[in-house]
Amino acid sequence: MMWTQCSYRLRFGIVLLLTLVPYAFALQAPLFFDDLPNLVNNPVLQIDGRVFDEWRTAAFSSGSGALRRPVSMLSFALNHAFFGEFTPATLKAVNLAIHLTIGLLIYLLAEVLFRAPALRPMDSTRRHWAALAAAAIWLLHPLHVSTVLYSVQRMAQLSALFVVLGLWVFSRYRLRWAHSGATVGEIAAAAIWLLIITVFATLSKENGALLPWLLLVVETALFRGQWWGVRRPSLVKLGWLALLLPILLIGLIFLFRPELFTAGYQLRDFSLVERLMTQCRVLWLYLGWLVIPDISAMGFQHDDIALSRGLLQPYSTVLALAGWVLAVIAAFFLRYRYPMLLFAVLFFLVGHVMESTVLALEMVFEHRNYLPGIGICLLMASLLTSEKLWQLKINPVLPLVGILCVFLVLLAIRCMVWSDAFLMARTNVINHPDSPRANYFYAEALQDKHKQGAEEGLSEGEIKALVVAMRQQFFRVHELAPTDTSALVSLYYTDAQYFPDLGKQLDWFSVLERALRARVLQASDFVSLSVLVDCVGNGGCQALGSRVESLLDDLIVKYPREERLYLVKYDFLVFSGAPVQQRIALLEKASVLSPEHASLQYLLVLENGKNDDIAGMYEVARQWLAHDGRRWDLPLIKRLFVFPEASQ
Amino acid sequence: MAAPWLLWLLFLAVTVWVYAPGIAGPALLDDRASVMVMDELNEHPEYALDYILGDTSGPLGRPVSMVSFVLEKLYLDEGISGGKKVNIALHLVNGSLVVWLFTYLLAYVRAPAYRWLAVTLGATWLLSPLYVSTVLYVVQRMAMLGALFMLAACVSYAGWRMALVRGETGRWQLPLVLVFLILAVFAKENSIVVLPILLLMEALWFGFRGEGGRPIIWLRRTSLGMIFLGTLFLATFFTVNADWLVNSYGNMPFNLQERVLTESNILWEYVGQLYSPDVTGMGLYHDDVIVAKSLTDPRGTLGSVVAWLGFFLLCLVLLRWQRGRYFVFACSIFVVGHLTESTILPLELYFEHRNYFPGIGLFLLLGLPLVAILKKWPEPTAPLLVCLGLYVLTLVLQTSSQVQLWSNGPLLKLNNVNAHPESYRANTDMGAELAQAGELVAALEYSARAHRARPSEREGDHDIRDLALSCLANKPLPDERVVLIGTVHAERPLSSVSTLQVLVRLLQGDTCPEFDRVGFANRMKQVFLEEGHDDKAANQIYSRLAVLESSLERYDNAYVYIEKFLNVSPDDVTGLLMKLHFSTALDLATEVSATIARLQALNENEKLTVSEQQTLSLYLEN
Repeated sequence: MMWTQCSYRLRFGIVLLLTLVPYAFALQAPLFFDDLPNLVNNPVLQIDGRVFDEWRTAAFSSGSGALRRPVSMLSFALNHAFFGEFTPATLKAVNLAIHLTIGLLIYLLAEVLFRAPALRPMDSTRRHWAALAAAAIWLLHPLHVSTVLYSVQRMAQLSALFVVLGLWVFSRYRLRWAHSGATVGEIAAAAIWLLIITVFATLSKENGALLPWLLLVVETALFRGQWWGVRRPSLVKLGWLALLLPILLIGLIFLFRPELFTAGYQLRDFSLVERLMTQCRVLWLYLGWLVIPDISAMGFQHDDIALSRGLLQPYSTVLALAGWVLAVIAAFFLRYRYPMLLFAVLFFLVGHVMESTVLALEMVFEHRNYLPGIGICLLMASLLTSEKLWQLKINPVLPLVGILCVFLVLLAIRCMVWSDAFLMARTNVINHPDSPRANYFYAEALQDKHKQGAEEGLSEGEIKALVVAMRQQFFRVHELAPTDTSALVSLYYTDAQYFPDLGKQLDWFSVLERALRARVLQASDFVSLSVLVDCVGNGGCQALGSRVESLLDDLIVKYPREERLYLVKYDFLVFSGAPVQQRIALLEKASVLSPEHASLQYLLVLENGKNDDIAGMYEVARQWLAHDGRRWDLPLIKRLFVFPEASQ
Repeated sequence: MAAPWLLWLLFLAVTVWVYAPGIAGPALLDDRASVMVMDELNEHPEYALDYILGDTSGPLGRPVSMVSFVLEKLYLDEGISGGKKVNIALHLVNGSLVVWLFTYLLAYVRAPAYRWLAVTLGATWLLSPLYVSTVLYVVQRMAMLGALFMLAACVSYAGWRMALVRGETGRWQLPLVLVFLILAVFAKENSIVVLPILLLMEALWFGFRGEGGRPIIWLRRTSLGMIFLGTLFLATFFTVNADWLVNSYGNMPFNLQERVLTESNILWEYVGQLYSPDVTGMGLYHDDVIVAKSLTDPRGTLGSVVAWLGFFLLCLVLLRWQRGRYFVFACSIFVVGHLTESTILPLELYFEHRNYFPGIGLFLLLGLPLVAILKKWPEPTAPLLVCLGLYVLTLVLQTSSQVQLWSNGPLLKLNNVNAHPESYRANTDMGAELAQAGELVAALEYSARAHRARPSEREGDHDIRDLALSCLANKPLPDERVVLIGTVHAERPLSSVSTLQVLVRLLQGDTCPEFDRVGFANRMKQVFLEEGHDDKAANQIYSRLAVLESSLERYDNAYVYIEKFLNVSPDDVTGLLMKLHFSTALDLATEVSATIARLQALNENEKLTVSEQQTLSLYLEN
């Protein structure tokens, strides 16, 4: 018995090791995209941990999500306090450790779930192999590379960790109750534990709130009202009712407060209906990746996905929708014969409810499968260790090992790609040639390479070739997304710097102006405008000075409540040497719109200081403090009043 | 067995970590008057007894608290930060005593995992954000020491009772109760409430039961007798002295009825702040609290009064059941704990530190439903304790942010003025802050807001404050502002001694060389010595003006002021010493002899402190 336990642990240890090795080689990959605002450019998060309150403010320093994801942010703060800085290796190593821990929990969960009453009894060896297979498939799955090696996705990881923990706790209790019932106290204890775990999951990332719903999936698909050795029809009905209740609730919310769902679509180039239709296809895409991990289709950017404008536009939309309806119906009617199928389908769909349905989020992200994929991995594991396969004369473990070897190779390739920023950008473009973002990222990678060209000893010819390639990429972005402002700014800058003759023929700035005036401003446009103003400031786009100012003024008139525009204009005023009073007046206007905006208030205090207006500094600080009701900016405000003399 | 205590050590460590930034916080209000005046103690340790017996904060002089300040000054001497360190240490001791008390009480009711429960409930008290203003306000050590000895008395009593329940005598613990009771009262007078709390603990929690649940008849008779006699005494005392009580409200901006009505609102607010803290409303100043003029003004008053009546009725009903009596006892710690400061006595309306001891009852109350649940269903013990731990976490987060505010003077003032924009004190503090930063115009604006917040303030006091602010900013106000003093309310133009004292100290310290000190003193002389009748100010105003004239070496004017002062307080030693100083300077030999004789007479009656004796001896040598 002890030897068997040891061998189980050894096998699982091998799986962990196999997962660790390819990831370990990719830990040095740089931080990028959302890592920057959330981690690198977040001063409140970068603490040494000596002051208790720093942990509080660091925990609530994320602008992401309705609840600010304090558990995840706390883990990042711990990262910084422990290692003294944010380095890709330390951040990603922790992500990897979390990934391995979830793998262990999946093993434990599967070990319990494969004993559920709805499934045919398995002997302990087969159950061990099934649990090991589920954990190994999930751990080695190449789809999860973009979650584990993308530091900020620790939020999704931690949420998944708590959800799996909750599922395991529930399953253990439930298995005991299925055989020998439970006391009121035991049920209460389980409920309270699960409530606590749900809170932690939700405070890691909001989709952790799906845990109770996923528990119902486990209940209806695998435990089926079994209580004290007897199947209780009332419990079965209750389970199904509770499972469907959230759908009813969502429907009611949509009926009475539709703006909760529709408001976010004002800034999107698709409607709610279009998103729902597109997601039908996207979910099949995800499922495909989970079952057959085609790494050539994977990537960081998936903005090349065609939107479903109607059921027949493209045709695959109606097929995808019908496919899901059929899948659910089939899973329901086959629930006695293939309970794991019902579990996997429901787990996958419920796991995607938050991010892949009505909310106005972007269309495709691989990390969204980190949790829902567990159901599919369990299904695959049950198939690979099915009774029939086990009764064959060949070694039943061989197919599993074969599949895992394939997964391992694919994982290693993907990790290698992710270990180098340039290689990743290039691979993304190869995998998604029609993705504007992939092309833009590649263009930026070329730009970086060009900047480092001289240091790396590239010849003049090679450097020129890089410039040409870079321009070509920016132009490709413009071709794919003609109103993409980042490409237009980059094209203007590139032509002004390296291709002045082309610049005379192509008035990119006029195109940019038309684009900005013609459509609703998007988040990326503010970044583009900032880049443009920086370009004016550093002399690269000096000729545009007055045109940029006039464009910003027009945009402020059009969007008088958009404080980000005021901040861009402020930068412009700083670069153009405008008097301090003018800068203060602008910031004060923005401050009225967004009194809780930390960097805005900070700038206003500094500008008042430059104006020798100490009373003004106090007044801004007072208002900032008044609007910062939860005291999340307290370290920043306090910093204003900690003078070097006082600290000595 | 050791694990709960390890958890408690962890809570203590977290408390130190959370409170540590507060050590850098500023000195506040009464710190300056009660604690920071001991500067000369290191040079003259013989003055120690003067300080210990010389405090005038309460009727008993709070010598136990003063001993702690004196010892701190003699052996630690780290200024205000040292005081805050000692307070934090005392808070940890108090927290440990709370846990000790809870352990006894919960063990008696056989609560499952009572040690864990006691530790976690103790942590809710230890880390409540409402106590930041007690722990980080040095002078509130008086309240903290009072609470410490009250808790020690409760723990000793509960320990004695548990010994009786076990069939032991526990004789050594009972005298300790008396010792701690006396120390508590001499730390702060309101600690006397521990006596009824001990009696209620016996009656409601231990139920006069001893070994094997057998009733202890003599204990029942003694306890019930004392409760009866105590109630009778209080009822008689306040009935007989009803007029005195009503008249003692003469100097307050509210009357007895208004105070009782307002306190019924405030007590509910305290309950809310303890269970579900809203730190944005917390602060040093609550002088903007709305005084309840009647049951319907403000509207919520009726609801508060009815709720309290309902609560008392509920308590009467619950007395029938044992569990109900536990509930009533926990509530009584809160209610009885507030008896002296939050009922009929003419004190200010609202202070957060008043909840330091009474809050213990509310946190004990929090544990009672848990005890009831866990006794019936013990399985959820661990998750419920975790939930309680998470509640502690939410309290810690708020306490931590509150400590940050208290760790920095300007930040605290900004927060006070945000939390209480109608507070007179918050606005005057903010004005002083801005004046110190050299921003006189903004400072005067806050001063004006303070004046609007307290319509009863005399124009003269407002003028004096503005002059003090201009001195702080070292930017003189136009002479017209000085001339205006005494033109409004000419019969009694000034009422705030402290405001005048601040200005005089600033002028004495030459904070503002630009200020026309002579011009100001002349105007004061005009107002108080030349125009109108004698009774134009409280005598303390005259003594401060005497100090002003003395600093200008105009001893003739100083002499006249101090004479006016001594007319009202003829035996005031400080006043007599000042008179002696001025008479000597003016060569008034007869006056000098008479004053020395008077002081010697007082000294024979032991009315002079050591430092006053030394001052007098200087004149005797000459």
